[in-house]
Amino acid sequence: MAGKDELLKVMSQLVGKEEPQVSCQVDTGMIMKLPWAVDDPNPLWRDEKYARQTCWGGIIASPYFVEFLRFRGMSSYDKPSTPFSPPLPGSPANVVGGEEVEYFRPIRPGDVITISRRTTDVKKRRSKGLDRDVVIQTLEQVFTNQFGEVVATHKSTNIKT
Amino acid sequence: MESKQVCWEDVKVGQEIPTLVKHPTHIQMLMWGGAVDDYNPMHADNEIAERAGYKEPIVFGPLIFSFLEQMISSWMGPDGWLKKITVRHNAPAFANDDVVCKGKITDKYEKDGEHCVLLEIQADYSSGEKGTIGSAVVTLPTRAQAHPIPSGEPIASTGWLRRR
Repeated sequence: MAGKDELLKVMSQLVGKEEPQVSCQVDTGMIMKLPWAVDDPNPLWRDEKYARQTCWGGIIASPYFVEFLRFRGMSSYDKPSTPFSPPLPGSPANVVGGEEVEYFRPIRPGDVITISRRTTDVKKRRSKGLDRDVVIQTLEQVFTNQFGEVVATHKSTNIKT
Repeated sequence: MESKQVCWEDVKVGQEIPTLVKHPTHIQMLMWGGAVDDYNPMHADNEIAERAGYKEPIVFGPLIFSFLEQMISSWMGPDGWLKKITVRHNAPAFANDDVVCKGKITDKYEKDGEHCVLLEIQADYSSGEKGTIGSAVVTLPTRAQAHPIPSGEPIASTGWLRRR
């Protein structure tokens, strides 16, 4: 298996580069699918009649809808033909180590969200829990609606084991 | 879910918000992976999980994150807004763990006309306490700003996901 130094070298080439943007038109089905998976009965994400009477005036996406958008924006490693998908030495598994999300505006059915993504840092660390070297990638994603307004930002650390 | 609106005047520093207990199953992990298009085999394949250093497939960290967001949004009511949330996953959860989500108010303040509450949050697993820890900032309406609670019936939880 390739060493983590080699993985670090390959992934370091991504740091600071903006990946190609991806857009996604949001529909009610997409919004409703996540609360079903989470088993979240909150009617604000699923019941138009209820949501219309709230301050939002209709269904809005749950906060964790950003997780769905996050994967829409993943071009790296998932699409081998893109320049942002170098074959990773050792085919490491990926585990999310942490997340930080800021929410600025609600996401509604019909919104077109554009996702920007870049790697801001890559480093090698010793994982005590796994008793092995790992490479930690820090990612930033920005989600912008059709009016050019930032609706949310997402930062994550991804551990390549 | 309780259909009520929490107002800023009504919360106190040191107060705990209602605990949410979740039981992620293999089926829920499949549903989550399908819902977000995350087909990372770490969450389904024993051999790949073991090769990565885990005893078995682990629960998606973002699913645990979503449980914490469910807890917060259920508590704050429809007029509340989750502004920011930060979590760190210290340890993995495994399928059929009890995931106990907790939150405690550590500060409340007004800033730029908004009425904010700072929460300390954590998720404890059957396999270990404080598997996930973090913080969140929410804005709440004041009593004068709050809308009447909508009369619609909350949708029932899909109870079949829960462990019997």
